[in-house]
Amino acid sequence: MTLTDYPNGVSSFGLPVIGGQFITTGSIFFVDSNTGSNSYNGKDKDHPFSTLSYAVSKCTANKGDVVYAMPGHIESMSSSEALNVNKAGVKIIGIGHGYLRPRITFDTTASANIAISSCDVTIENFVFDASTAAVNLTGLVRVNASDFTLLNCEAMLPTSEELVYGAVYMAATSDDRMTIDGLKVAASASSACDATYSVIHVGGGDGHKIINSFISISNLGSTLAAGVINLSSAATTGPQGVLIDNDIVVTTASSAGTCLINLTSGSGSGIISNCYLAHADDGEDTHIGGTEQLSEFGIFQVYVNNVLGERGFLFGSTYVSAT
Amino acid sequence: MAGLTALPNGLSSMGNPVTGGTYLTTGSVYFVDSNTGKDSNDGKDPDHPFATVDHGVAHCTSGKMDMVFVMPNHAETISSSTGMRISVSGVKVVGLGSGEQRPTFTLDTAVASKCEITGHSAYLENLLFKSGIDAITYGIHVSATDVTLKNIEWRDDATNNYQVGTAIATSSSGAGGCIIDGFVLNNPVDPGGTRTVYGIHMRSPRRCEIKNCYINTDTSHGIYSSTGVAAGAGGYNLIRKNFLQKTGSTSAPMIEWSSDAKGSVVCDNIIFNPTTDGEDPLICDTGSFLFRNFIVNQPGEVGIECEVVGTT
Repeated sequence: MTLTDYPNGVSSFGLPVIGGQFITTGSIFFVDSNTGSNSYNGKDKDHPFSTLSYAVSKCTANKGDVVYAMPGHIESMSSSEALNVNKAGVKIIGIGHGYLRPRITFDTTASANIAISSCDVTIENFVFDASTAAVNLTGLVRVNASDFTLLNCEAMLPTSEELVYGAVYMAATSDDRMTIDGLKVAASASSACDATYSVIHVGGGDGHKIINSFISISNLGSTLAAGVINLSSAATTGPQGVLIDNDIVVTTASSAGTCLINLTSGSGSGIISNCYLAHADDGEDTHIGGTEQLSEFGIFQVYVNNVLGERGFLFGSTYVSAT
Repeated sequence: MAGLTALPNGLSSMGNPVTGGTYLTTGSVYFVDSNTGKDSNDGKDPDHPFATVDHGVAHCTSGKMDMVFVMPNHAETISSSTGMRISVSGVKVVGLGSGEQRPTFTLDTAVASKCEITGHSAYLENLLFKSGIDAITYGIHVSATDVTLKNIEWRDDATNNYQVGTAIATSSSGAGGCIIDGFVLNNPVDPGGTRTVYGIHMRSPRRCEIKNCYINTDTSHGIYSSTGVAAGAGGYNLIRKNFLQKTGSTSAPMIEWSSDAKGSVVCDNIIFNPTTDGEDPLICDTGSFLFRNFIVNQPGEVGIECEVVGTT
C-alpha cells in the first residue's frame, strides 16, 4: 500500500486517523451520556453509546480496541462492578480537560466500583468523583488483572463518608505490573476524608509503578498507619520490584503515626525515588513506615517534612530519621 | 456519519478532526486570523478564518471541547474590561507560531482592559499578551473553575514605560483547579512605568497548579496568594519548578502563600532576589509544605536551599 496524498497535506498508510497521538488497528467506539444511546452503533462521535459498560461489551479482547468517552460524559457507579472492564487490551480514553473530563461518580452503595478484571487495560484522563458519596466506599477502581494502566486521572475523595481501601485498590492477588502515572488527588473539602484508609492500596503482585502523581489530602482518618500509598500483602513476600518515583504525597493530618508510604508485613522490594512526603505530625517520623524493613527498598532523593510552613529534609538525614 | 469512512488507499476516519498536532477533540474546529479573516467567514478552515478570537469563541458550543486555532501573526487590541471574554466552557484557544509570530493581544486604552475567562475548563495556549498602557489592573482574569493557561507570555513595553499591574489573577471564589504552566513575564531591564504588583495572584486557590513559570521583573510579588484567601477556602495546590527573579528593590517576597491554602506544596522553585539581601524571598506561613526551594539574594553567590520559616 502506498501513501495516499489528500488535499491540504494529509497522507496515510491506512491506519485509522483518530486525531490523537497513538496508533491502533482495533475498533473505535464513542460514549457520551449527554447525546448517546446504546441503540446506536457507537462508531462515530455523532452516534455514541450512552454507557461505558455497553461500549466495553462491544469491544473484542486482545485487538487494541479503544473507547472514547466524550467531554462532559458522566456515569454513576451504584453497584459493585457497575463498570467491569473485562476485555483484555481495551483502552478507555477521556476527551476533555478540567471539569469537562469524563466523570465517574460513586454514590449510594458501599461496594460501588469499577472493576478491572482483564489484563492490559488502560484508563486515561478520567475523573473519579466520590465527593458526594452518601455511604462509605470500599474502593473506586478495583484491579484484579495484570498490566493495568491508570494515566493522568484525578480522584475526588468523599467529603463526609469514608473511603475504605482507596481510590485504586489491588487485592492480595498475583496480578502484576500495574502502572499509576499522573494521578492527582487534591482533597475537595477542608474536612475531607475523615476516615480514608489509603489512596492507593497495593495488596499483591510485582513490578508495579506509581509515578508522577500529586496527592494532597487533609486527613487520613482513624487508621493512619495504613498510609496514603499502602504496599500491603498477606503473602509471605509482598510486591517485588515496585517503583515509586517523582510523587508528591502530603497530608495535613497531624495525628501520631501518620504514614505516607506504608510497607506492611510481607511488603517486598523496589525503589522509592525523587519523592516529597509530608504530614503535619511534628515529632513523628513515619513518612515511610510499617513493620517491614526498609532494607528491602532503595531510597533515593526522598525528602520528608512534618511541619507546615517548614522545609523538608532528605529522608534519612539527622533531621528526620527513618522508621 | 456512520462508522469509519473508508477513503482510498487505506485512510479511514471516524470524524475526529485531524488537527495535525496532539490535540484530541470531538468538537468543532475554527480558525482566526486578523490579517486574512473576516467575521462573516465560516471560520472552518485556514483559508476562511474569522477575524477575532471573540467571534471564534462565540461560535463554539459549551461543553464540547471546541477548538479555536489562532494563526501566526494574528494581532488584536483589547481596550476595555469586556474586550476579550472566553465565556464558553471547555473552549480551547491555541495559538500557532513562535516568538513574535505568536498571536498577540495588546491591552490598551484603559487599565481595566483584560482578558476575562468565565467559561469553566477553558484552555489557552501559546498566546502573547502585551502592555499597551501602564498599570493594567489584571491582564488575564480567571473567574471560572478548571481553567488552564499553558505557555502564555506577557511582555511589557520599555519604550513607552508600560508595565502590567498584575499579569494573571483569579477571582476570590470559584477559580479552583486553575493550572498555569509555562507562563513567562520576563523584563530583564526595568521597563519603567508603575511597578508590577503581582506576576500571578491567586485568590482562594484550591487544587491549583503553578509550574514551570519564569517571572523576572520589578514586582512586589512574583507568585502571591494571601490577600483575599478566606479561612479554609483554599488548599491542596502545587507550586513547582518556577524561576523567579526580581529586578527591583522592594522587600516583598517573590513567593508568598497563605496559611489558609492548607496542604499546598511549594517545591523546586528557584528564586533570585539580588537587591534585597536580608529579605525573605519565600513566605509560606503554616499552610504549605516546602521542599528544595533555592534562593540567592546577593549577585555572584551560590544558591542555597531556602530555610525560611515565614510569617505573613
